[in-house]
Amino acid sequence: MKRYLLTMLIAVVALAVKAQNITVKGNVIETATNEPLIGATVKVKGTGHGTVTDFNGDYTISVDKNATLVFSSIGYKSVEKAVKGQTIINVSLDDEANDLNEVVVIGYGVAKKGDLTSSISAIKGEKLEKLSTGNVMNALQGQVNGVQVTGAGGPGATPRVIIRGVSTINGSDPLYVVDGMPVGTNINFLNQNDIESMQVLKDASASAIYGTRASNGVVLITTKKGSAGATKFTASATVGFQTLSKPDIAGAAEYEKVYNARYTNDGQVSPFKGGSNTDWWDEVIKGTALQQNYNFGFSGGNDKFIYSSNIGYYRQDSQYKTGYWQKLSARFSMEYNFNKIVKAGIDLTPRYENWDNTPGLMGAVMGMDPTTPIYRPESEWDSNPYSHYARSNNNQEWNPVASMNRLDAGADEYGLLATPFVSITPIAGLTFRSQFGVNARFRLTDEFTPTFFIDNLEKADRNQAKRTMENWVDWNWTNTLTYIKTFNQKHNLNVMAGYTMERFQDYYLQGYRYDIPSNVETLRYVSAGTADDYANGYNSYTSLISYLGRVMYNYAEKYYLTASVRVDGSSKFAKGNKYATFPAVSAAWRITGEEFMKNQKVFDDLKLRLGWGKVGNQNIDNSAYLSSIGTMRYVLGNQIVVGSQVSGIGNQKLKWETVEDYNVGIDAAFLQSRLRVTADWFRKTSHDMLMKKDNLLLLGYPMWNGQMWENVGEMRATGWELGINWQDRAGDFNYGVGVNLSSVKNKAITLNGDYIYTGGHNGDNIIRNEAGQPISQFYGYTVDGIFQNETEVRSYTSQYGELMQPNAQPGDFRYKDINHDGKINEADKSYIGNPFPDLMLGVNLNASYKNFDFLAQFYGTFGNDIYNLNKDRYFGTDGVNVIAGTYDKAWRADNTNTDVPRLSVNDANGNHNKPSTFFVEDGSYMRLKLLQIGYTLPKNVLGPKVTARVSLSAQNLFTITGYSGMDPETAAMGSVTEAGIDWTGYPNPRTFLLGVNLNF
Amino acid sequence: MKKILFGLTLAAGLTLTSCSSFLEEPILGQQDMNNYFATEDECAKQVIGCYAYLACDDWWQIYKHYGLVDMCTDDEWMGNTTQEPGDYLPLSHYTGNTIEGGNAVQNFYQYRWKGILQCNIAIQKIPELTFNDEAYKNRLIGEAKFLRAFMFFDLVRNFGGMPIVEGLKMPSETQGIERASLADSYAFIEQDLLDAIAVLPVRSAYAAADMGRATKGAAQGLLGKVYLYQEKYNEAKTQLDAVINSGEYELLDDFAKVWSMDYNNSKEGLFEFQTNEDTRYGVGERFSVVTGSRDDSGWSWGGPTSNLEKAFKDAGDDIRLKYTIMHHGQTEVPGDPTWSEDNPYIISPSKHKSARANMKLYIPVDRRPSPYDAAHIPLNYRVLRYADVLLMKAEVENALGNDSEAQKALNQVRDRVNLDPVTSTGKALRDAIRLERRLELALEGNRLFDLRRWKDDNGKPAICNVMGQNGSFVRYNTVESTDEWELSNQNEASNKGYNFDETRDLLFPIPNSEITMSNGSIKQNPGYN
Repeated sequence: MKRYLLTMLIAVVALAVKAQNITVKGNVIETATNEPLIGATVKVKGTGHGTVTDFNGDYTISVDKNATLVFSSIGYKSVEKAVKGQTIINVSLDDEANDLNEVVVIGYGVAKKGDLTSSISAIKGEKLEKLSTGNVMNALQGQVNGVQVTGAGGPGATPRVIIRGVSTINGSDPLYVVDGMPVGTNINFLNQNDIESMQVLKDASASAIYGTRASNGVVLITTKKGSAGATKFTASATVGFQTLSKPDIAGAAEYEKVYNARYTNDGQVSPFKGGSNTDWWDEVIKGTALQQNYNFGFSGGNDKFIYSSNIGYYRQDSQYKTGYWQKLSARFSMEYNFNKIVKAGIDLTPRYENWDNTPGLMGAVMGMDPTTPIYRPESEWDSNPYSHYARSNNNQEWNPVASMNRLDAGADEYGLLATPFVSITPIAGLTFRSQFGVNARFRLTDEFTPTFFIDNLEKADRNQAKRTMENWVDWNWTNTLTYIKTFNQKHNLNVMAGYTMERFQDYYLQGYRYDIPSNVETLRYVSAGTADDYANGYNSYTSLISYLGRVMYNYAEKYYLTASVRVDGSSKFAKGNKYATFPAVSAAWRITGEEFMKNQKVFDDLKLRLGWGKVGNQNIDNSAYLSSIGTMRYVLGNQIVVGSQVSGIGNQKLKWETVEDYNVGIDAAFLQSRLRVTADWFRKTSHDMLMKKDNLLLLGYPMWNGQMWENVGEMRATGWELGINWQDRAGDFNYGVGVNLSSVKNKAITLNGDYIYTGGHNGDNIIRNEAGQPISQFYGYTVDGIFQNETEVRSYTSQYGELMQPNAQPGDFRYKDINHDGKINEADKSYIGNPFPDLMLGVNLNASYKNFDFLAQFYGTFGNDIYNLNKDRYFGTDGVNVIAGTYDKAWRADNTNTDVPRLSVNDANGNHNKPSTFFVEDGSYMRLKLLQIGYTLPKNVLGPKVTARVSLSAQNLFTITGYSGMDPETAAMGSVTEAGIDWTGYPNPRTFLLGVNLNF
Repeated sequence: MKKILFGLTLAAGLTLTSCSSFLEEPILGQQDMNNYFATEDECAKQVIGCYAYLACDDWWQIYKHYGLVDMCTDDEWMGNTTQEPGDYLPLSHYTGNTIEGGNAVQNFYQYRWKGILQCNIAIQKIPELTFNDEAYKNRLIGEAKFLRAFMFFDLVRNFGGMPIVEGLKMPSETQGIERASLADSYAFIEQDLLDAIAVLPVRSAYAAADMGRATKGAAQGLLGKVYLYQEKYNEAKTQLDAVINSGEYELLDDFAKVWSMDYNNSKEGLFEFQTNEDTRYGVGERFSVVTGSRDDSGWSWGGPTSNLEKAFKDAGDDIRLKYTIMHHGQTEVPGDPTWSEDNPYIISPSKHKSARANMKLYIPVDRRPSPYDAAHIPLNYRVLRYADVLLMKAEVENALGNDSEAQKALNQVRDRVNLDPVTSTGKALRDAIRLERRLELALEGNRLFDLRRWKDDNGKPAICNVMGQNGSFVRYNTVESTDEWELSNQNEASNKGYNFDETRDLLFPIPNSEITMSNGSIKQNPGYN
């Protein structure tokens, strides 16, 4: 992007007059290390003329004696030197971390970082590369203030990204824009090594230019481009392994004790059947799972043509004994200057992804009866190996080893992201740019279900082969006209007007058949099926039209004003509600630019920012407004007859959700810019929130639980962010400390006079949303201890002497009669937990000494609650296996000093069914996300041209938390409306990696 | 470059064709309801859709509940003792766990309302279209009304008075909705059925291809039951007499045929869920697998009790016993030559509470479709049959004091199974009719509602004297029973019903989510908290 700006600058300045040339030589070094800088660009200011430094950092250039040379290199501050007749000019370049002149992408344009009026965080690709991961957003965790990234565990799983807290009930994923092409809400496909820089548009004054899809923030990603100079090569390899910590699940002996106690405590005979002692975890979960990441790239170019290319391979094995995710991606980037007016280029990113056989068996592994053997006795085996497994003796879990070995499902995806553009600069300062981006994905999913028989309730009578083809072809045509001009050297103006059209196309075809003659591998294709052919297919389209405009003005880089507007039209809404307008205004004041600040020594830079904007949300089903008719079949006269039913109820009144955002921020630098502080305060208000909401069953809607898209109300999120960075050096020792702190509080303002219940579990809801309250709070009964004896049960009565908990027995929870009406019922529920943190903290430490470098990243959340369903499922319900120690923890007449209720098969008191404070735990944690030690080989070990770095890193090395479940991080996953409920997913593994990077 | 030019041209073209058309993206592959109900055929199809909601496409929406209601009586155990009972336990053993109980009925409750909505839409939309044949139009509306009444009645007898929802409503239109009184709920059902009776043809007036549709007789029979449940004996008599006098129905000559798949839509059937063995769609019955012996491809839910068996034996009722209950070690299973002395039928006592299974739903081995365990068994589920009509008639006449009429109807049913005519009168006759209902209609989903509505001499609903600490069924199992199978297998507790609470257990709890979702405007049934 720097190049893009340079090109503009070149165009702005008129051609230099013909002049006298002299030859200038010199050497370019890095200030910090005094090492020569290889491949630094040396350009004559105002021309396209330039050269690059050689392996010793030396250059030679022929220039006019009055010219000015611009020395630049990626990651360093540019330096300008006037030639003034000198023939030797040596330059030392400083690391440009947080440099105000850094160019950042702002959406349909670029700006200098120092000129920003909005809250935008920029991060360099090289920082993200430090953490090897399948999804680059994992590497962003703790790096960018106000961005909460929650790792999702399994291979190919998408982390949850929340920018500045939850501002709407309808999703939290930001919009990703890669090289100007919006690509949706998931960038798993992207190779993290391809990223040059990433910008996070956090407030609406920045993101409003993306209007419709910007309500959760926008992440702009710029991929690497070539630069003029000799061809440079890079190669890297990272190999390592992941491991899961094993949960403490009971063995056969304790399981039996718990199982029997549940019955005997209720005066019943336990139907327990014992037998083996199987450790299902060890049978299904691998000790270590391999992770690999390889990259090879080259780049270079000249004045006319620049290119860059990279090929990468990533593979993550599943933590189960089967399954993996791998992706092979390539990128080719080219730009060609036809002449001073016309430039064109293309980025092509073909890729291939492949998933195979990763089961989702965490619940079965944990819950499976440990007294069941893996296999039935060999005497009972038949010819079908899938039938050799044993049925659970005492519960309903399906044999997880059998499920894993049966699994035959995989998907291949081929993708291409192409962003060709042409840019025309007919007169100085005026650029027309047109980009037609295509993002195409073709996915083929195959699934085979074999026949097997383990038990009447664990079997498949018929095998099935299924193939699904899904093609997504999205295109985006973006046209912008930009005019940049400085008047009287003080008035800096940047005006942009644009028009975009986008269409999202989804093609779907699925076919399947039953009764393949056998389970053999070679027959597992749809064509081999002999009965019951099924096919489904449809096309689905969504389109968007947008008009955009923006004016950026600053006076002497002191007073800044930016205003933008976007008008969006969407096909997702019914006539009359299609269009919406998203305006934004922001201003900034560089206080250090004022005369009266000239003599102070405290601030090296001080800037105040103010912003306001509106963004939208259209994240709903295409057919949300449509009531549709589907097919139903019945039998009349002994024959099947085809009938119809209303299969979906649409909401014609649906309209855009809009988020209105205020932002106040301050950027400051102290102590020779070694200390930098950025602070922001914001308030986001979402109007007409869109939500697919459960409705009363008596409405009879054909959708499950009556779910329908509705505009449900208004909510507000208020928060602040504070980023403090210290970077300094003492001799050969460089070090830095960064602390990111953020906090968001949200509140529902109106919900159409309604409560919104979510988090359905055991026939009740764990979460209730109410106007005036923070959203997605846990809502349930307050446990007021455990009844210790019959007298306590009998004496817990209303004023009329009625038992408040008639079904209770000693050992059951006593629930608080919150409203003092002498009854325990719905009215005694209250808010008992909030899944969103009070504070998010990222701490980043870096240091280097001579050839060694060190990096540590901590991330934590504080004050968030988790609703720990492990305490339901694995505490003695439904015959499921239990957390070790459950028997000892549970209340018994001889073990009364406990907060865990008695074991009971009937659970008439509803200890495990009623949502209550028993399940709510503090989910705060602090995790060492990344620890890395690197060593750069001394010069000339591998030859003069080669720099090599070896690194060792550990991810998720340790976690400090009081939370009793498996992983407080994945426990906090889940959609906004089901946040903080721990359903026991795939925990975040610990990863150890060895990496080698080569540049030559 | 080509791509760019193509893009520019394309986009320029699109721009010129105006933005508004670019933003019109019709939903492809799905019929828009707003354009539907434009032809007679489309209206007729919607009515077929309403029928499809009677049983839905598998066992778990509706059939499961029909099984559950028998488990809540003295006729059936949960039965399966190899698994956690899950949803069946809280209601059948009256544990009083409101939330689990609500969960157990959630699917049934939800799917009955879904069916009602489809009927509501048919009833709302069909009148808007002009038909060539007005009678046909009225018939379709009548069918939809019959189905709505059937489904609503299914809710009311399980849960009590229900909210009345007509037409397609938006969520905002039902804020604060409350349950109608029981009387108003019944009045709604009665009106639908009266409307249906006025327009529906008698069974013989339908074409063969329409067999299975709602008939005038079905509507009259159902209305008779609705009146009977409310003890509106005179009104019930009118409807039941109309069925009896229509000449459309009579008892099958042999009780063996009543639940035989060879006698679907027989002259005895007033209304049946229609089935077909096509494996592609869930248009058959799967409940037979759910109730079948664990040792014979079944899931063993709903084992008949020895208490029911004893009732047959005490009555000397061998025929109906044979065709109602099968038991472990049976060497001869009627209609199925698979089983013999050498190969007896297995319902192993260790896996089944009572080592007995439901014979009415039994499918002979060589008549089972392949695969067996799927919703395509072609056994129509009989929800209203003529024997029921006769027994209702007997009950009504007895209540009205016309004991000879009552005896006549009762003895018709007894005569088929070679039982002596009943000659008693008054309360003795009443009790004979009640016993006859239990024996004739056993395991057919009637008993629970009968026990809830019948008043015993002590003024309490009959179920209060069957269940509870001193209930006849509880006493039988805990004191009197000598049944080895039931006594030896305590994996399902024999004291079922001990926890029955007459202030709570005369109705099922409404799914808890409905109470919370309505912000409390829908009130839970008494005793559940």
